[in-house]
Amino acid sequence: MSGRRIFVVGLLLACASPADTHHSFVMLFDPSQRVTVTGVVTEFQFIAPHAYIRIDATDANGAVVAWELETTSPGQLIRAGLTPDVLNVGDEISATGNPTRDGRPLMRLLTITLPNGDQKRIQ
Amino acid sequence: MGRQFELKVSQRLACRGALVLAIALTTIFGAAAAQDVPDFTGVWLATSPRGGGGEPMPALTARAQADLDVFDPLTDPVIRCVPPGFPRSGAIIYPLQIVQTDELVLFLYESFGMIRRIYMDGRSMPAYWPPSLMGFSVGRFEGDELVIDTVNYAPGILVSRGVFQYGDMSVVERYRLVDGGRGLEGDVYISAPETFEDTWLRQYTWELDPNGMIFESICDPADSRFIETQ
Repeated sequence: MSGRRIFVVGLLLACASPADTHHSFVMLFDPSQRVTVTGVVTEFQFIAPHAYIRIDATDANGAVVAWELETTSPGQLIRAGLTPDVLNVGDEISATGNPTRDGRPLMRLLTITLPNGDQKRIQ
Repeated sequence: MGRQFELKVSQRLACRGALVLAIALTTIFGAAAAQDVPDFTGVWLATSPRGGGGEPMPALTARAQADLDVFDPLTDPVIRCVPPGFPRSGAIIYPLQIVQTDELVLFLYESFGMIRRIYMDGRSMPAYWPPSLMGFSVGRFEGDELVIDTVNYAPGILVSRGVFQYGDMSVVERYRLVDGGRGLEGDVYISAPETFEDTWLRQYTWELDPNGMIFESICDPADSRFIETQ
């Protein structure tokens, strides 16, 4: 465990500003990179301060990888049109966001495409 | 007798006329005075840049730098869902509702459901007032600007990565409407001599959401998720 740091992702993001993010949010996610993943929704937690979505995606080797999509506050999601009545467990979605710097299957969600083709810009 | 009665009637009519005139003038000029004050009422969505980069900040004092060097994010009360307060950034980058009366302006932040009361009636801070996350705020209009002075902060974290203020902070905010009332600009001057070598000016912008609503955003400590990074 030595050499590791622990981040409380949702709460740090909740308090992030350009000044704050310099050493917390930006340390975890790489804002200069984009990753797109397609998968099936297994969980949508519509909670404050930040909602999150979990999906099962299949990688190039056919293995199922559990991804977590960090979003923003429920209020901001409502304004973006991404609510529990339009996103359900079992939906196949496509998500694009900033990947983590260390390669773990976690992203800061930027856009999501729903099964009906609607694309929602989250942040 | 008859002449005295006529005089009394004349005086009464004159008094009534003066009263009516006074009420009319008060109404007219009172309304005009109220119209001279800009109306900040509404739901405002933050449009300031977010993410990446790094906002310029004054040089830290030796004390603030020493605390920053050893800061452990897990000690941040925000992790336990304690509201970050103002002017910590969480209040500024999420939607804000302003409710304005002659005596009081309310800043209702979506983030953590935080509320600020800005007294506009000329009162001073009571002899004893407990230091708090939001401090004690009084406001006034200077031309088209709403100017807010805030003091009496409880010590706490000012920037999430571990920049502290030590209870000596005072903040001056200047807000103005732009773009025909569809935009809002705010300059936030932060003076914290125990933290910064100079005043820190943070500048923010918002746009009016004419049909906007503020959502509840109460944090439950049970929802904290700990993610290890290398």
